[in-house]
Amino acid sequence: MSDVGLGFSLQPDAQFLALTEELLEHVDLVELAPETLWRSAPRGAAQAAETAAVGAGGTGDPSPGGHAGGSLSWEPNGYFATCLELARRHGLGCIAHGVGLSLGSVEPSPVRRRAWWRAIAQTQAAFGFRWYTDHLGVSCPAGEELTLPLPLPFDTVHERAVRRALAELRRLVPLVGVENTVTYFSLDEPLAEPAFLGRVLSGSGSCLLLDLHNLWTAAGHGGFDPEAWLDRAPLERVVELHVSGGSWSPPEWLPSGRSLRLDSHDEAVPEEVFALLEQVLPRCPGLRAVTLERMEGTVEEAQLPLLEDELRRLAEVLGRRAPLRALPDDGDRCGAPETTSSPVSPVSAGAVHDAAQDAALDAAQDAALDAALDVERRLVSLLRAPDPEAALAALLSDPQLSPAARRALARVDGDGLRLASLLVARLRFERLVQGAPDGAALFTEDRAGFTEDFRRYHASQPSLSLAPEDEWQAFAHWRQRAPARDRPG
Amino acid sequence: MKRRTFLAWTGLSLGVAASTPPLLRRVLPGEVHPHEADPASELARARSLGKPLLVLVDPAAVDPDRRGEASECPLDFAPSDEECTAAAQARWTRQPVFGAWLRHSPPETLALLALCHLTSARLEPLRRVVDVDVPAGEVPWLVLVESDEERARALPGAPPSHRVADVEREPDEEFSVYAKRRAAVEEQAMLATLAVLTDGLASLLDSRPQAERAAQVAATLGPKRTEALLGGLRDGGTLDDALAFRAGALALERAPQQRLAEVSAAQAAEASRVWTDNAPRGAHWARSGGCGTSTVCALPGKAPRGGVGGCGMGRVPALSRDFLAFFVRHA
Repeated sequence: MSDVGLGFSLQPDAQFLALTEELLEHVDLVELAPETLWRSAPRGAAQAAETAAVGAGGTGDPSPGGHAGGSLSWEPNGYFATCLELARRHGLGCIAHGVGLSLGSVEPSPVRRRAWWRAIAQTQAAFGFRWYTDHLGVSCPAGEELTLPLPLPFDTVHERAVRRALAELRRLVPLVGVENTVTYFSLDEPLAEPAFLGRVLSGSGSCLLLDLHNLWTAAGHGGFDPEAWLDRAPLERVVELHVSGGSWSPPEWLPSGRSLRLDSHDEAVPEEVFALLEQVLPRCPGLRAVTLERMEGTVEEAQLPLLEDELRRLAEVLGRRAPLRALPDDGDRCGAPETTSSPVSPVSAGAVHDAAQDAALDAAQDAALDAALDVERRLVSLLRAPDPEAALAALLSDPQLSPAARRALARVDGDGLRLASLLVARLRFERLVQGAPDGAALFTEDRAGFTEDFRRYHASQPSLSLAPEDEWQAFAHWRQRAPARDRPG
Repeated sequence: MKRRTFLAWTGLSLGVAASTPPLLRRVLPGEVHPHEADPASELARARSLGKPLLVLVDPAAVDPDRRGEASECPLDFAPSDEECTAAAQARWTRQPVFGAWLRHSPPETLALLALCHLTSARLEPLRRVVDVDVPAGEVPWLVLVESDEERARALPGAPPSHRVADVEREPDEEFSVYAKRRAAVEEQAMLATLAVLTDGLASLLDSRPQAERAAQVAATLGPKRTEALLGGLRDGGTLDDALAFRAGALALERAPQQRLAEVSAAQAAEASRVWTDNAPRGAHWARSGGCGTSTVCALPGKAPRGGVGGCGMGRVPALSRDFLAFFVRHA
């Protein structure tokens, strides 16, 4: 294990970067979320880029899974250069770990995907990421930028969607992969996830980022044994391990008074996570790095000794005395033996069919895709509903609900759904405040009034862009044209 | 070629172009990528304003053999391609310097910049429009194109690097002490770089008398706006900031001595507004990020405005907790 690199996550926050720079002396790698290094390109440039793409053969049609109101193009923001300089100054390698690519979207908007590929290529050109991972989940369901990775059913349609996204990403970065995600509710059997990961990653250059805090947290939410999950997981595919802490949601957030563990990267790494690390290390032959994660805004000077201790402890577990600096070559694939196709499944089987069989398969695929899109749309409506649990109950009593959607949604835990809906609202609130000309004053000057406006806006208006300024413009526009009964004040 | 044959060939060509996957579409080194400013149209715009075109030169390179996508490495570039990575890194090291120059310069510098029409472009497309006299392999920081000339002049010499990678930590030096020392060096280096840019621009503009520049602006301004400008400059007249900015050298030339400072200040204020809210076309720096990140391009030591959140994780910052308390209470 002495040739495994030690990593630390960099965040787009001036105070975080200044305070934690000292810690970089202990590590070999820095991890960045590429999209936090971007901003939406000026509208003219965005439209020109998309027009050029359309003129060169792109469809340019964002529907279905539409993306009509969102940013079409990204360009580097100033943290791009800041983080690049920091990595160069300390001679550190870079790895990418995103959140918003939405690997599990079954029918992603081609406009959105093109914008992401362009931005990733540009970022990769500068940072030379050794690998790029994103979360197993859907953060842009049915074309809405909810930004929180949501769970997906572990079926063939989603398997194909994730594999396709990874294959496209692999054209830009030599190694790609997915991370097991913390979700607050499930659409499938949680212990089916490791086998699903095995199928998704069964190609060349596809790796697993195993987040141990996520596993421990998900086990708590889903009521399963993390060791049982690990026994089923493709550990030979693990390229990186994540270690982090988290905190618990306040009891007053949920009517039940229940607290759920949050994937918040804001507290000390729990002992249970260190124990999982020691247990799993010998079982990951292709492991290249162990990364300690922290979120922006969670580090004060007083926390630095804790972080330093955690990095030292990780170095000890890995049996290292000093940073490696020169890491072994990653090669072009994870440590697992090559397999050329996923395990046979009813839809993706590579067998020879006659015309009738092909037609039947096409029909089955179309039906499965429609069902998956239906689940995405239903999830969006639940997560933006004023009372998600009541909306879920109403939905499940609707006889028109498709069997696939019913099967998936029947598994949803009410508390988890409500918590996820709060996080979705909070993320949108943050984008709105960030994009508003007067920033936080928009909220702080009239907390109750603003919240009421936001509630109506959030419930009635789709969330179409990641960019704060787009969110602000949409909100301002809504306020101008909202019917009198919905108008603020 | 017969008309029908010509049309067939044209149709075939268009068909091939239309079937080219959009992600692999390329431009030649001298061509302009859709993300970039077009030097030809920027020069035409400068000429219509009667101002010189000031180009903040983008060092991004294109490999002519690979015919890579301008301003970015092509999507199928080899991830181990060091040349491509170096070009991209050079670009993102230089752009923040331009950002700091326009966002944090004193009013005198902004007033100087207001005499020009600004854009940012790579050297190759610029050379398709005008002659630029720089040694092979050198990428100047600034290029000035007079509105009535076909030749351009470049800021001679390379400004001092604002990078401070060579500031070593002393043995046993506390990191916080080292970081503070390095930040001070970094700030001084950046300020020195900005001073070189400002002095260089002043020397480029000194090549012709201000009266001549004023006459060029006057020729494009039109009688109505000229009268509005002059009216604003008379005793008791109210100066229009945007018009003073548009009129550049003419406003300074016609301003009475006692109102010169006011004109400069108005031009600087407008320049700041224009280039803070909308960077010159082709320039790349930022105010905000895709996931709620914050203002950047501050000078070292001047912290940017803090963001409130990131992308999709479970951490809930204090302001958001406050919001959720209301959100939950009123549900």
